[in-house]
Amino acid sequence: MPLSEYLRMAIMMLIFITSAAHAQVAHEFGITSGYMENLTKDSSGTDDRYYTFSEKVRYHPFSRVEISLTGQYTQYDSLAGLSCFLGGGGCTIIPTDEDADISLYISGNMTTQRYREAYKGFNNNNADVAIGMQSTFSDAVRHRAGVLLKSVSYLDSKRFDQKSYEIYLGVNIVAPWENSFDVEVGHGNLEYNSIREEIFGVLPDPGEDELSDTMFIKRNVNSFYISPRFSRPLGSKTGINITFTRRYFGDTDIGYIFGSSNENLSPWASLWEGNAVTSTIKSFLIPACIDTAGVGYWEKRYLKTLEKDQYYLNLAESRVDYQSRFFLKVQRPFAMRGGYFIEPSVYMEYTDNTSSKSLYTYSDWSLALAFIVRK
Amino acid sequence: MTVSKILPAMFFAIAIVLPGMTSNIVAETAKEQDTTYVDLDGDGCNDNATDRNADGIPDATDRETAENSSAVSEATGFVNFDAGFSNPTVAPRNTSEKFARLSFTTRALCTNRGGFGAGDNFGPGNGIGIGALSAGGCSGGVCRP
Repeated sequence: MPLSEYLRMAIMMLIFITSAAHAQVAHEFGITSGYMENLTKDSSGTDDRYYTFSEKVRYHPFSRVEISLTGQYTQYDSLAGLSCFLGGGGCTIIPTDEDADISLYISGNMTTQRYREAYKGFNNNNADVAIGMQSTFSDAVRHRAGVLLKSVSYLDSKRFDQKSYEIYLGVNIVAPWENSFDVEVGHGNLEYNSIREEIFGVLPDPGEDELSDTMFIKRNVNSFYISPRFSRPLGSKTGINITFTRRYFGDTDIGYIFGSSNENLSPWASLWEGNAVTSTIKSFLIPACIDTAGVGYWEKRYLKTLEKDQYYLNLAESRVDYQSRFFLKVQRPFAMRGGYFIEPSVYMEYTDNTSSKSLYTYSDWSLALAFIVRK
Repeated sequence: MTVSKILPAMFFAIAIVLPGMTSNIVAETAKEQDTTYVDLDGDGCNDNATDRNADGIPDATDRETAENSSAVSEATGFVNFDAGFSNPTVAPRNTSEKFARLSFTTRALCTNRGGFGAGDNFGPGNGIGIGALSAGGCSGGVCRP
C-alpha cells in the first residue's frame, strides 16, 4: 500500500477520534409497498407489486459535516429480475455560519446500483460533486449559484457511460403581500456515445451486442434552461406554486442513440428538450397531516433513437412525448418523545403519455404506502 | 473525473476545512424567531414559520404542538433534516442538531430544477414520483436514495 493511502487512513481516523465527544448518529429506516399498473412505462402495460426496504445513517463528526451511508433493496413480485440494490455514501460540508450573509454547500456522493441477472446490463456506478452558494443582499432578495459534476459508469457497456457538468444561477424575490418570485437559468454539458452515421443502412439486425465500440463516437449535448416560478400562501394552512421550465439543446445535430424497450432504465430517459409546466398545492387543512397534490404537463423531444425492434439501421426520427401527470400525497408525522419520529404516508399518481413512437404511448396509475422511522 | 479521484479529494477537503469546525459546537444558543415571509423551497408556505417539534407542520397549524406548549423539540429530541420550516428557538445540543440548522440555510442549493436529472420533477421541495416518498422507493427499477 502506498504511503499516501496510509496518510489518508490516518487523517480519517484522526477525524473520527477527535470528533467522538460531540458526534451524533441519526438513523432512518423505511419500508414502502406499492403497485404500478405500468411498471416499464411503455405500451406493454406490465403491472407489478414491489417492496422497498431502506436504511440511511447520518454521522456528524462535526457540526458542519455530515457523512451518510445508504442502502436500499427493492423486490418486485412478477418481474423479479428487475429487483435491485442501491447503496452508497456521501459527504456534505456547510462551512458557513447560520447567520452569515453567504451560505455555502459542498456535497459529494457515490452510489452503486445492482440488478439481478436479467437486467445486469444496467448495473451502474454514480459519482457526483455539487457546490452551491447563496447570498442575501436584503430580506427580500436572495441570489444563488451552483455547479454539479456527475459521472455515470455502466459496468457491462462503456457505450452507455455519461459525464456531465451543470451550472445554474437563481434569484428569489419576495414581493409584497407574501408573493414569491423565483427565476433560475442554467447550462449543462453532457458527454455521451453516439452511433456513427456511417453505419446507417449498412448493418442488418442492429442488435447492440453486434456493434463494436468503433461504431460509436463521443458527442456532447449542450443544454440551456430558464425556469420562472411563482409561489404564495393561500390562507394560513395552504401554499401553492406554479413553475414553468423551458429547456433546449444548443446543438442542431446531436447524434443518435439506441432506444430501449424499458423507458425507465434507459440511460437517456431524462435527456430531452422541451417545455414543462407544473403546479403543486401543499396543505395542512387535515389536522396533523401534510397533504400535497400536483398536476403537470410536459412536452419532451428526445434524442433521435433506434429501437431494438427495427430490422435495419435507418435514420431515426425524433421521439416526441406529451405527458400529463397528477399526484396526491398524504403524510402523517408523529414526533415522539425519546427522539423517535414515525411517519406513515400514502402516495397516488396517474400518468398519461402520448408519443410519436407508439411503443411509448401509455397510461399508468400507481399507489404506494410508506412507513418511516427516524431516530 | 473518476470515482477513485473524487473520493480522496473529498477526504482531503474535510481535513482542510476541519480547523474551523469545532469551535462553536457547544456554544450555540437559542435565537430570535424571524417570521418574515420567504419561500426558497417553493412550496408556497413561509419557510420562517416555527416548527418546534420538527414534524414538518408549522406550529400555527399544528394541534399536537399546541397541546404540548413549550420547547417541544427539546422534549422529543428529534432532528428533522428535511423539515421545510425553521426552529431557531431551541438551542442545538449536539452536532446533528447544529447540522440540521445549517442545512436549513442551504435548502434551495441542493438541486437545480432544469438539470439533466431533474426533468420529470415538480421542482425542489415538491418532488414527484415514487422516490418522493419519505421512505424512498423505486419506480420501474429506477431508485432514489
